[in-house]
Amino acid sequence: MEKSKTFIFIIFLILITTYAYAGEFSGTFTYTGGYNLQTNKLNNTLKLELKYTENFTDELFVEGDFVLKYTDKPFAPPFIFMPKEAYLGAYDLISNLDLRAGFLIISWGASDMFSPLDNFNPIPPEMSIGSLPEKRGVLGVDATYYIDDDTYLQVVYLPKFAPSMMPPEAEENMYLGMFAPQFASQGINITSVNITHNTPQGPAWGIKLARSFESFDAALSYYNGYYMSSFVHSMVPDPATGTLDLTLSNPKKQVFGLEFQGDFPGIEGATLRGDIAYIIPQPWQLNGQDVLKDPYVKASIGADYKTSSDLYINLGYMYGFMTEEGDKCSPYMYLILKQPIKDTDLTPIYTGLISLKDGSMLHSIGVEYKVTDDLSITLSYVKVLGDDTSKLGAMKRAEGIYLSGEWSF
Amino acid sequence: MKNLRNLGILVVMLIVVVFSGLAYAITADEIIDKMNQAAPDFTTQKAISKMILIDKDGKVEEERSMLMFSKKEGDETTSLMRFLSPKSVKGVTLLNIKGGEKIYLYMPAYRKPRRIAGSSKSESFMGSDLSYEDLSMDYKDKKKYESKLVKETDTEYILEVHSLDKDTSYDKIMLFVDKTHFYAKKVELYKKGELSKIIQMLNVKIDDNGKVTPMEIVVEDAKTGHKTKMVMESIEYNIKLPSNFFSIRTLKKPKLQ
Repeated sequence: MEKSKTFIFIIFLILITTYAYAGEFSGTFTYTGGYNLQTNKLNNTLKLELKYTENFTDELFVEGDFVLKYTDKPFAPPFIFMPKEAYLGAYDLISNLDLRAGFLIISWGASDMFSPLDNFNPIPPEMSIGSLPEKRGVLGVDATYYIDDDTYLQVVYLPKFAPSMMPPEAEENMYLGMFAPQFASQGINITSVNITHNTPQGPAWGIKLARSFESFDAALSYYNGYYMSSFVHSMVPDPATGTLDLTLSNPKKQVFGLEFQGDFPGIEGATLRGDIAYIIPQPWQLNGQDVLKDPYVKASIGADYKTSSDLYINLGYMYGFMTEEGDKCSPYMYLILKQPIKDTDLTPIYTGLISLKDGSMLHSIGVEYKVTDDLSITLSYVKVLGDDTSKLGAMKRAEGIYLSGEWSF
Repeated sequence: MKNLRNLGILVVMLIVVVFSGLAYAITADEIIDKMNQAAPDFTTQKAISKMILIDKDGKVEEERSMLMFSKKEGDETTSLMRFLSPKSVKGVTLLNIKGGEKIYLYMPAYRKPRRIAGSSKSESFMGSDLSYEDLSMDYKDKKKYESKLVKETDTEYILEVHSLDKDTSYDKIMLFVDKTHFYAKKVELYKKGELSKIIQMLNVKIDDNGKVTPMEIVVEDAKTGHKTKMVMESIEYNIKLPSNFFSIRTLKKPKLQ
């Protein structure tokens, strides 16, 4: 049954792609296959991303980026169609003002990985190591006023905050694994979880002032919205049925940010990129225990450098992983290496992440093969070191061998 | 005896005068002036060109199409370059402000401009044999480079050029200048005394006013033999561009012109 679904979906994608290829569209068609070493199962994902731009005048245009996805991963919805980005853009309707309205993707922060200043778009629960996270567009308005060629003021307003959502089954399993042992120690046998999302309906907004200086660029920003990930607001166990009723919500947060990129003092040829966030959370408690209380800092600072032999090195320091908030934040370092092999179409790639708190590690070793100008294939192996309770040990479910192919058209 | 010594001094002086006059009828500065005269006069320029990456065995690795805009502000050139194809690099845009004073690279997937540190200027640009520095280098600029005429052949003047900027990657540049039309037919770039790159003009267009436009340029990595060929498909001069065109604002625009 699953195989026939996959086959039908492939045919459907080919038909759409053929149509798009003939039209004014561009896009990518991606296959990702992963053999999970924890479950010994193979998962397949097919993704078609179509981009479309239409200029009505020199000042007015529409841009669309639509994603059609099929996956047979457990707990994930098999078919997804979403407007990743679809907006109306206008330049100079008011002098020096750029406007975008619709489903937007907003990219704040200068760092290459896990910027704590990038708070507008929901991302899927799967972590992207070495590649950009697949953000989902949010309904909003983005206005950027250029004070001069080097300075701009940007205001982003989302009338309704949009959180990152996990697939329901995966979310239930996660909380069951988290809370069942806790209640078992109290003699309550929890066998299922019933989750209610109490998603905030309020707006989220941000303002950023950026300036380009002689040897670096810097920006100050302020975000007023909510945490993307849900926090447990209340939990009520029912010993009779073995069900745990959970209410999840998203606490408010304010983020004062500093981002910068430019010359790395003292290291010739390196570019420094960094984001520092000062976060003021809405105080949040669970069973009388503080989950979020005091303001805290998250940061991601890295430097990229290319050697004369074309080896790309990106080394960075992070304080606070994407899943860590408040006093749970801890330090990490990451390293990305890419070395094209001369006179071949092969590029070995390494991505590593280490928790400086407990030494747990994630390694991804792969090789990219450029078949043609528009088609590339990547084979990689992901290994996580550390016990299940360590900072990165929880990512062991990602251990596996991955094959992906991307065709740009 | 005294007369003999005076005669000797006179002979030496004559030799110096005659040979220096015979050696070079033109100075390096005059050659650079003539090269500047032969360069096209423009304040703004729009060009469509191809960038072809070729391996050491002569096999074409990748062919890219680019749209390029540039503007001259005094002695400085500011440029904006966008890849049109292949699809894998479509939309990637480079902004090079005032000869490398500030460099930004915009990749559509990132949706934000990435600044390239000034000290990274020697890095390869998008896997080609050109560095960010090469893209903004103008060795005809007398304020930035000093030159010396070292040799003259029947067809060429050979100039040795040194940058006055200590931060440059190249410690010596050799220009092989065409004697008739005053353009650099070949340029050799040296790093730490060793030949690093060779740039050759394979094809030029010369207009009625003697202005020379390079139409086909090959840049070769002297160590690896890898080459990047730039082929000009069309050029327009003095086109009208908005005053803020060469800024980070333009990088994100889906349509440039």
